[in-house]
Amino acid sequence: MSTFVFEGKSVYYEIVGTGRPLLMLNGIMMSTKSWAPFLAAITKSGSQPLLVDLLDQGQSDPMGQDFPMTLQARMLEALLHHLGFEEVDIFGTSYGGEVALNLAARRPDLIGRMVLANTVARTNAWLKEIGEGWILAGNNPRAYYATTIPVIYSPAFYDRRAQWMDQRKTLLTNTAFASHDFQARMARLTRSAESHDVTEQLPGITCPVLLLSSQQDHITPPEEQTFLYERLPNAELVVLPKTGHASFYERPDLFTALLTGFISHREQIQLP
Amino acid sequence: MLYSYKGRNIHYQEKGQGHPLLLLNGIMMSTESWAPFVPAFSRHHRVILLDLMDQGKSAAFPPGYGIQEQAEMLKAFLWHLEIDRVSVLGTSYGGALALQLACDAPQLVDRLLLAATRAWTDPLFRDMCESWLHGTASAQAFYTSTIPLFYGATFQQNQREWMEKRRKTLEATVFSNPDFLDRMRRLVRSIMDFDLRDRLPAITCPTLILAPEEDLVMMPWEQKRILKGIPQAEMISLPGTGHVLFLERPELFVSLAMGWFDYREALGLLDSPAPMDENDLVTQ
Repeated sequence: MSTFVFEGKSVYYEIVGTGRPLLMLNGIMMSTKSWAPFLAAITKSGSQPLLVDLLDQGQSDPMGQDFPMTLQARMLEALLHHLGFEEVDIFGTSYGGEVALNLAARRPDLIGRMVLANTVARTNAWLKEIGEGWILAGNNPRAYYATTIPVIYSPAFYDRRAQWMDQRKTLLTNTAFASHDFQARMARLTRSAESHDVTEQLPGITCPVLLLSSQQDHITPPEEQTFLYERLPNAELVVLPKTGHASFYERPDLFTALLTGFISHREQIQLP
Repeated sequence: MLYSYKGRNIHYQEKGQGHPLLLLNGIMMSTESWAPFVPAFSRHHRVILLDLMDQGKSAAFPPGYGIQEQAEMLKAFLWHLEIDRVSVLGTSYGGALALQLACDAPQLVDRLLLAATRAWTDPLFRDMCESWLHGTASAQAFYTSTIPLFYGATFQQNQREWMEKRRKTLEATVFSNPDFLDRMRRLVRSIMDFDLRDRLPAITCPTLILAPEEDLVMMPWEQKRILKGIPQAEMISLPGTGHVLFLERPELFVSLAMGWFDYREALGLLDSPAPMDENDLVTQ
């Protein structure tokens, strides 16, 4: 565990094992800890995870005031410079995927290969309103749970994991969701995504990109990844049926196979 | 290398070391079709390629066999190689054969990847097979009855020149070779009575289904049937992609296949009683 200071704010990060650096960017409510179950498989595939709590996430400092998502990209650029990494692979999911796109728009030269799960090119009016709903529910833990969590999973996942979801509900509403600090961070993070729009810069992101869509994603629907697929010059797109927004958690093994396969398979195939 | 099955030669190749990975060809393919992929596949696996009965450099076989007989041949062939656990990648006909093998000998197969596959010959596909049989009357008829269905509409729109060139090559060579067309007739007949719908639940190994959205031969709803039938199956849909996905999206195909076969340990993420704390939020 290490920290790095960016513009007076402490940023928490971890480098795991050895290999090709793989910057892993969290979804909005996630933290470096969320990746623990995946790390053994990822390091075994030849990658070296670089986990980061983004500004206002997990063990990184609270920001105290609103900031744009582009600041997260500038922070990562500074972190990679600080660590001496000239090229990294990137995995990002949701908010993390959007931060990845902002970093790629700013510094395409820093990126080898990229896997983006459940990611959008821009926060449209619809998604902005969803974010506003989250912020408004922030002073009531139960309301916050009901506003944010059900839409993140597929109905089938809820059925399959009813007990697990119930335990989670109790835990979350009694801890994080009841914390004023957490809610203040979430509100700032949510607002930081409001200005997100890299549509114009997509043609300049030339690295190989694998886009993962979930058929039942109600936050970043498949149309949004098709939008990216049509504009990124070197992208592949796959769709996971019967899966919700938190695809890596609903289909952990398939997700790990997709991520490690795309990141570690690097040669060109020459067809006759 | 040659293996003799019922007195006739089966041509095969091996490459690399590690856990055995058997590649099963589509109906018109041969071991040579995999050549561009073998370096990647063999990096962590002992790759086994073969020409099935009536394919490529393997012998011609007497008419009347079904795909079940191809599976019998595979069992004998694997026994000959002293392999008792194998991962299997099959595409199209080869995927149907992989299903047949996994149903007939579930203890043999430990991991499956089915690329553009179906579990049965429905009436529509049976008629399609019949049109291919009629198509063997001439090179042009064979081309038009098969190839336009095999490539996705998007690929054909974007690669018209390549398709035209391919058409000329195929019509001038294999599609006007009477021996090839004879073999094709027997191979097509071998799948016309294929039906494993009721037997899919017997397949116990982890299975990944790759379902191209523009597949006109093994349609997406047939892929879903396999997903529903096999207890441990996962599926990925490939937009803008047709039946021969390995030719249309070669690099994606390799990364999906290698990710699936290299990564073998299940995470068991939600079943483990891992402690949860407020920093371990796994949501958006």
